[in-house]
Amino acid sequence: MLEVKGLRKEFGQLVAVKDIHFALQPGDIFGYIGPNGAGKTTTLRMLATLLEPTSGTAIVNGIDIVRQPEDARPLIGFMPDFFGLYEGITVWEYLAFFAEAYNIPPRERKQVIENVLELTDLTVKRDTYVETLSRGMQQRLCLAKTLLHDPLLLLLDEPASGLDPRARAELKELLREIGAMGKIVIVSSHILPELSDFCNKIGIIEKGELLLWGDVDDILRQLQPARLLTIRCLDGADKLAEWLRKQPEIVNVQVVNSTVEAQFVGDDEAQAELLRRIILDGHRIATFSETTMNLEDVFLRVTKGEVA
Amino acid sequence: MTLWQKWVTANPVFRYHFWGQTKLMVRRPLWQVVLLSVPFVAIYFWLVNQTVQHGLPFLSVGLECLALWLVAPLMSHALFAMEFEKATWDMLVLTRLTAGQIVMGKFLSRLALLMILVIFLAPLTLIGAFKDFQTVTPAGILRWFAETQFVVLSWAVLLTSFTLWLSYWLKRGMVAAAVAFAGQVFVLFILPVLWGLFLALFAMAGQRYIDPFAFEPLSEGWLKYGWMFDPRLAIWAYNPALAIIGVFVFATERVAEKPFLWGTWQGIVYLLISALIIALLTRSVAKATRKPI
Repeated sequence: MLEVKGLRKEFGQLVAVKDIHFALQPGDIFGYIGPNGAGKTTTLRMLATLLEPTSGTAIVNGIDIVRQPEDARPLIGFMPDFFGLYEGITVWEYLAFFAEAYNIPPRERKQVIENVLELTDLTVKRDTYVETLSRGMQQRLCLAKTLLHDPLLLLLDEPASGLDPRARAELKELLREIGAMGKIVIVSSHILPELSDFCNKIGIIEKGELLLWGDVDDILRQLQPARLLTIRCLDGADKLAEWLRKQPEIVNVQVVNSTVEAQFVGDDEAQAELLRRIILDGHRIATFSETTMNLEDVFLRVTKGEVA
Repeated sequence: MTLWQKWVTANPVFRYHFWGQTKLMVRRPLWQVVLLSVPFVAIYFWLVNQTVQHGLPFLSVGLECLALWLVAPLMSHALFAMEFEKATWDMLVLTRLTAGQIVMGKFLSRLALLMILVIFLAPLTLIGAFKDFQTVTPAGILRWFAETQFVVLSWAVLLTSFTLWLSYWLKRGMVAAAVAFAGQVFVLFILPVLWGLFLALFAMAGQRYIDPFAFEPLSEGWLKYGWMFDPRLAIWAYNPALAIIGVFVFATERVAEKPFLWGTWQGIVYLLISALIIALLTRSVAKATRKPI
């Protein structure tokens, strides 16, 4: 597991990351969200052992990344947001270079390389020179390289930046597969739709401060204690709004563009019962739906749009 | 694991820099390889012919100096800088390679390439010397050859390590190359001239003037052994071009008494400085990356 304990980084007067704490289990996919300059990359570089924290530490499978960085590195795979590739060599040679550099035994190298090529769908490109690959392919090659030594903790910094929609969708699918392999994946991004589909945990950082972190569903429940119901009534929204205000389970009602938005406290049973009563009261309902918060709503509600 | 395995045979950094980048050239279509090689092969055989016909050992020594001393910074300026410029450094740091493997892999790959150049150029010098040095014994010629090669090569090694160090600290390949070349021009040409002017001013005030091209004083009295440590002579005596001229002057007995270890000592000093630079560089990389040496 990964346990981050009071990680802090100062660059002179600037505090880039302020004493952050969180813990993740194998299989967790953690979306690390924040605006540009919030401290996401600094956090990931500290976790990757590339940057020494000013204070605090992180423990990966019992190994302290600050005290034993060289012991922690085999457990960590890091894909930076901006990376280059060694030129003049093929995809296979590139992976063979890193397989050797990661001390993978010679008799296992071939199989390991074939496995990561297959996982990242690059088998057909094995003899292609790396500099001739498209941006999306290079991203996958970098991910293949990151997976070579089978790390427990995978740190991906803005992995989808610069990719076209198809490459993004493929990357999402790939990350889902990797998460299913029991790894701890931390994906930083400021593009929220990228993360919403496959993260089970999120953390929101702003100005170097981790504003909240936890299970996506728990956070949504915390931030949205009442359900938001959107109802379109053919008889006029004002009449329905008046009726809803009198119901005990409704805490807030407003009319927006001839549609009624009401905050409702209760479970699915109670919600079905409310719909039944509205209809019995004679209102002609065209649509009745529950609007759930998404990551973007959470992000906008929690952050103030400031950078460190 | 022996150091040889650790730094060379089992070091992917060495193999990539020695062979990886050159493979692209080799994999070009055959006609392109032939076309690119023709001018170099023609020039080389013309040189071989000139040497066999006329001797001219100084032409080939000069050519060696020019080639090695120009090529050394050119080959080394980007070794670290390219890692920063292309953002590959982080990925290298996260591998199991030690700081020593990273630095030595890069450094030794360049020395290996320099040795290839020496293998082609040094025989020309030897053939030329046997043809030209009529008054020198074969043993004397071999000794001159060995001492000359040692100075030429050890200076090239020093240049390689210095440029590698610049490449790491400056993080920009072109800047590292420019500083390395400018530094070399300063040390080889500008500094000796400035020092000569400085000593000439002292001579006007009644002090003894030392002519860098008059090697006789170096063979006299305590200077025969003390030249190595005389600060007045350091700028000239440790100039590799003047060291090579000195090796020739003493080998051909234009000056009868050779100062103690002339030629060999300069080479040793260049190699020691080079080793110091590489050791400091390795330590810096180890400290910055928190890797073992």
